[in-house]
Amino acid sequence: MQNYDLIVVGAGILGLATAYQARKAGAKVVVLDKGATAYEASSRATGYLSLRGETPEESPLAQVAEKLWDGLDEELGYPTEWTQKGRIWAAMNERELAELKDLYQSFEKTDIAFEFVDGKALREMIPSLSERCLGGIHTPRAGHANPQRASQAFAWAFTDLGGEIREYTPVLEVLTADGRVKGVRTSRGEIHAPRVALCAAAHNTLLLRPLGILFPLAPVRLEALVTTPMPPLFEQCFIGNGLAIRQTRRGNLHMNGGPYAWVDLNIAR
Amino acid sequence: MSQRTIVVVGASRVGCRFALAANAAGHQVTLVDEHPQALKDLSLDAPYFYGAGLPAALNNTNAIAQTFLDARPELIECSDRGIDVRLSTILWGAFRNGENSIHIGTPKAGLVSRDGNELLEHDILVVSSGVRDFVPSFLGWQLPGVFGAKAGLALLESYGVFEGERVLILGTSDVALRLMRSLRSKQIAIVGVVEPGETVEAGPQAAAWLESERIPVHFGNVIASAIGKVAVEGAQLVTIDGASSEKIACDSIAVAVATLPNVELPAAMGCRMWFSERLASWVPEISIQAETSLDGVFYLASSADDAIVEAMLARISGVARDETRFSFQSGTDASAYIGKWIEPLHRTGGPDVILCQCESVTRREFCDIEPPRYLGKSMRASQTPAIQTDDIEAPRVNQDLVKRMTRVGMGHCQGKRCRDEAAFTLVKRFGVGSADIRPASYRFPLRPLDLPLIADDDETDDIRLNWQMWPYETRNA
Repeated sequence: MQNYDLIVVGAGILGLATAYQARKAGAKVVVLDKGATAYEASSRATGYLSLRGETPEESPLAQVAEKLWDGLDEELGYPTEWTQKGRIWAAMNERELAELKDLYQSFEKTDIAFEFVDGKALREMIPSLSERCLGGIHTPRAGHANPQRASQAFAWAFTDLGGEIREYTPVLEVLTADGRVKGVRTSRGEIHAPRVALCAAAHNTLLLRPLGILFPLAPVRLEALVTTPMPPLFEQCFIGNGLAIRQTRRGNLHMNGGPYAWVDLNIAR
Repeated sequence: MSQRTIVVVGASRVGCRFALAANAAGHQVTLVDEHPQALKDLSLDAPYFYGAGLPAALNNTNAIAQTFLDARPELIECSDRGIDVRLSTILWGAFRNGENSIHIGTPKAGLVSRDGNELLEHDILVVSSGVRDFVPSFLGWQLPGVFGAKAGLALLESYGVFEGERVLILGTSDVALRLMRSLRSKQIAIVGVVEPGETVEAGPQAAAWLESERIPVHFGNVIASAIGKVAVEGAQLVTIDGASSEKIACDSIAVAVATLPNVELPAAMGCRMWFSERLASWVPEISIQAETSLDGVFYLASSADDAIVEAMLARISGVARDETRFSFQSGTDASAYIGKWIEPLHRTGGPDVILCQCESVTRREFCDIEPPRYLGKSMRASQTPAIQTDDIEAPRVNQDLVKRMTRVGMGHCQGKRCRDEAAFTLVKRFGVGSADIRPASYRFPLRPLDLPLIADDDETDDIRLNWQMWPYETRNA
């Protein structure tokens, strides 16, 4: 019978990391995805561990995340390309510089190390950086990884421990009885568990609405661009001019960002 | 009849034929072709396998432009009749409203050339992008002097720049015969032909021609390796049982096993695709009006005839969409012939032959999903790309996963040289059909683009200041 301790909906990095930790703790876990593992946002992500300071309440979580990333390749057994060389959020004009200075005030309230630097300091860190960068926020302990490798590393580590992933198995409904979670209904039948972790990004909104819960998330499409490999230019996470730009181990410049384009969403086609 | 704006991608024979007919019917036609390509683009081995060490004479763009037009009088006719002919122009992306993109409005095509980038609005898109080389790997295939038959034909006939003097041909397919006829017409020596089977694949008339031309065919053989230090000096052949081997002196090795349809544009647009064993490729599903699953997007195979062109024009002029599937006629089975090559090549060459040239990945590293050597890391346990599902409609093996993990297909040629052999390798390894493989994905831009050529196109101040733009989501819009 299809009975588990935990059903995870969504085989993106959040779902896979959740499933992995639960399985490590001894739970019988199944991860369900409407498509292939890590085939949506997780594999097209920017790939940064930013250690952001906008929401100071989250900074303890960010610090735990940093520790986890540090040993992740060895823990999972597969390379993630984790590169911990800091993050630079650069201003391209005076208005942006003033906005970043404002933002920095709240960043200073966290326990994460931040510093505000000028353009000259930025160009000492990244010699090829444009003169148009006037300064910005530097986060020394931030880092980046290959989002596709990191997601897949969690998936493989999870199945290595006996975890189960079912691809092409869309979850259509969360099942409840007497005010308790019973499991889920998928396109291929019901699966039962007393706990369901919804890690399906904006699909969570669709799954929670019938339970009367408002999950305020709406999907947008951003853009990504990759260049052919280039000689080593920088190792930091760079953000500026509306783009996140990192250089991969292979040497490609990987850029994410652009204006939001709102999209529609449906679970099963 | 209302005039439509039509973009035809690929000034192939059938593309020109359609463009002329559409123009005569009163429509506004733009005909785009990436040829003649600049030397820099030729060196990316897309769409054809031009190989390394291209002659510097390919820099002579004016002479080449003239040679190109002389070889293609139908292009001059197109131009004379008022069709906007854009040569050396890459259609790198086509954008329209769809599931993941609801704000495009009128469909737009990204066109880039030496002069810069343009987003061309249009009603109708016709893909007549022809075919390219299927390139199986073998030891030494990276050497200058190894190239594909379509590349060879282009260099001989359209570019007028071919420096080989003693050519060895791999394969006896239709394209191999076309290449040999072209070489003969230019008095370039053909030192021999390699054929794993016992008969000429292109048929008895082709066999008769080969005999009359006294071109030696080495039946029951494949190539073991290209030989040479900085360029091809010869080839080592091997019998398909691996028992005996001979060396042939040559300065060029033309890979002429098969041609494959160029389908990156319809695939990247999200057209529904199906795997054709006969064509050995995924191709878009089309109706008898040649329309893909996307309204207003048509796909013209090289074999399309005037009846199809007429049906397309009727549809474009407003006739209702006919959902009847078009079935391709029977013809030679490219999958079977490709298998005749790959099987002995893999067996005699072994697992350490480079499969993906762009990323230097061997056959074994691909099959074992090994991370790239430059990461200096290994896998805790061996893994497979088998898809985990009960859904019998779902694909069974994920080539896109292997691509992401090994980088096979992620280089500058975007899999032109390796993705097909990679797929056939997975078919053999996992004992599934080609249609059961989730193919490696395609993305825009369809060719590598120089950033300076598209950087001039900046967003408007309105977008920059007023659109929600990451990472400024903390700013109140």
